[in-house]
Amino acid sequence: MVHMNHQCGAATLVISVALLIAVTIIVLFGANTSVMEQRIATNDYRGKQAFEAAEAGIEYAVGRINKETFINLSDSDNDQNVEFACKDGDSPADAPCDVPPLDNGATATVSLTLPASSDLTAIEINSTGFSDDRAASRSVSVLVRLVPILGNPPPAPLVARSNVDLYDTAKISNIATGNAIWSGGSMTLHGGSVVIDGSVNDNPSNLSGVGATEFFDNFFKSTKEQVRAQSKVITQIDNGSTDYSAALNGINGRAVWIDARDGLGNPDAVIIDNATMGATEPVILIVDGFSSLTIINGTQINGLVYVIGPWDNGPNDADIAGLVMVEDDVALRSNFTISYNTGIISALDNVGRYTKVAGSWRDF
Amino acid sequence: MTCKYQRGFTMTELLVGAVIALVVLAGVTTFYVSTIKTSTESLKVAKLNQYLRAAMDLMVSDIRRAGYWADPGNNYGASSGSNPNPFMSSAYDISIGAYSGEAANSCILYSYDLNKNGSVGIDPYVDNMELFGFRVNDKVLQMRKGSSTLDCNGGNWEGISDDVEITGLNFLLDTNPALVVDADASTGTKTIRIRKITITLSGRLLADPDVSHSISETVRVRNDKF
Repeated sequence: MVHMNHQCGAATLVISVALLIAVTIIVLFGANTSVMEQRIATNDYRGKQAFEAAEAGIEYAVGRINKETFINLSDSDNDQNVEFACKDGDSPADAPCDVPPLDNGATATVSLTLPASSDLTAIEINSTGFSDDRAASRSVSVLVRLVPILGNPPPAPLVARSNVDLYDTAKISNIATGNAIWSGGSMTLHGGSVVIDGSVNDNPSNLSGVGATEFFDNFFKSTKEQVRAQSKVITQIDNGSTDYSAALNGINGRAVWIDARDGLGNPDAVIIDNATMGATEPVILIVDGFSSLTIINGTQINGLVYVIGPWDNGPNDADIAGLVMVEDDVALRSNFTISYNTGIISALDNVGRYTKVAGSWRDF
Repeated sequence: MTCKYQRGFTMTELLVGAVIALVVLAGVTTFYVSTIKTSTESLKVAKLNQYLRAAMDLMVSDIRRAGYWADPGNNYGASSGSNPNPFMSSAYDISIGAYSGEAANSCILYSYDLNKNGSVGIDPYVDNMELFGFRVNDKVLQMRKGSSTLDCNGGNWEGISDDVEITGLNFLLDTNPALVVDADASTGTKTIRIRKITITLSGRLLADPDVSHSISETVRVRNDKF
């Protein structure tokens, strides 16, 4: 070509184009590195998401089995898988239980198995978490153990830190182990019709001079605050004189803490009228902060009644099978009956909370 | 225009053209060189980051398991003050030290029941080694791989940091205020300790010591200690 001889700039063009191609390749390569890095970061994030979801599944299951107590857990088909209600309203079933999705879209599936056959006091929770796109999954498992609230049940059905006054035809009986009453003060019988089956122990060494807190700590595994935190708490319903039986009737297998002081100013006068508690599994009923407590009209309670403060029940009847503990003076009248029941007291061990056992967490 | 009438370029035109071409070429070359530089730099940073992150993930997910025991039910109901878990006994519990000559707290030792048989395995040759550790030794991150004594200065260790020089490794054990659970409330003898470990890892590329990075992560050991 003739023009080639006279042209000027082709070399620049060629070199520039070559350099531009090189730069483009480098940029593409760099972009590829970024994409790679992003992929690694995303995978990392998904893995963490799945792991956290698995952990959330464990917490969900612990909360779930503690929500209503162990009475809702069973292994009726003896396959070592625990049947439980996965969500409110579900009927108890073997796993897998799909935990409601987390806010970030991750999900988890949990199952409950028994490490030892037919012993529901130790349960292994297995949880598998999935990332939002279900590409990553992680499994975590932990052992939970039922820790009873009551640590050291007394051998007598009626234990008072102070004086005991019995009137009319009140009946305290312990035909199983022989002790009927422990009193940290004095015991007085008013009238000759009171029935006491068993021995009376005034001022035994472990009650003399103990404070209210020590009295509580003697029998329970943890402090009042901790026990309250583990209980279904019923706060003051009204500011005067209130029947709590609607809230209590039919409760089984758990601890209930009535706090009649909270919220409404003056303490409430607590009335428990014709309620039935603990018919299938015993209950622990703790009554706190009341101005007066009356359990009336043949209320039947199987389990433990713990009264914080002095208690004068007035001329009213109730039937308590199990234990009654009063942090102060107690006065019972009419046909009030307290009877020691070995079966109920040993079943009180089932009233508690499942707690993770240290050393049982694994993700492999 | 046809060849017949064309007159070529004048000298001035040629010179001006050449100068413009040189300027453009210089600009493009500078651009090229800086692109190469940035790209190499980001590659190096990415490489270092990736390495440090992988090492950190490995340490975090393994240390998190410390203290696992296949028979944890035996913990329950143990007498106050004693902990029957062999993986939390003083010989095999989490401990932080240093290889001789290295910075303090640059070595961690721990154990967990990898084969779930309930007892501490120490033999590396039968796939039953349950004593673990990480340490820094002469700017190399090392992972413990065997031998019966759990010690920062003894046993077999394997380097896991190629191409990277570890300039700092630190383990900080934080035993939170102890929580009292399942204890005799009046004496509070049996306690549970929540343990958190903060790991700080810094390194630089062997190929280019100017590229350095430091990351830090806190892991809560899931198996609490009595």
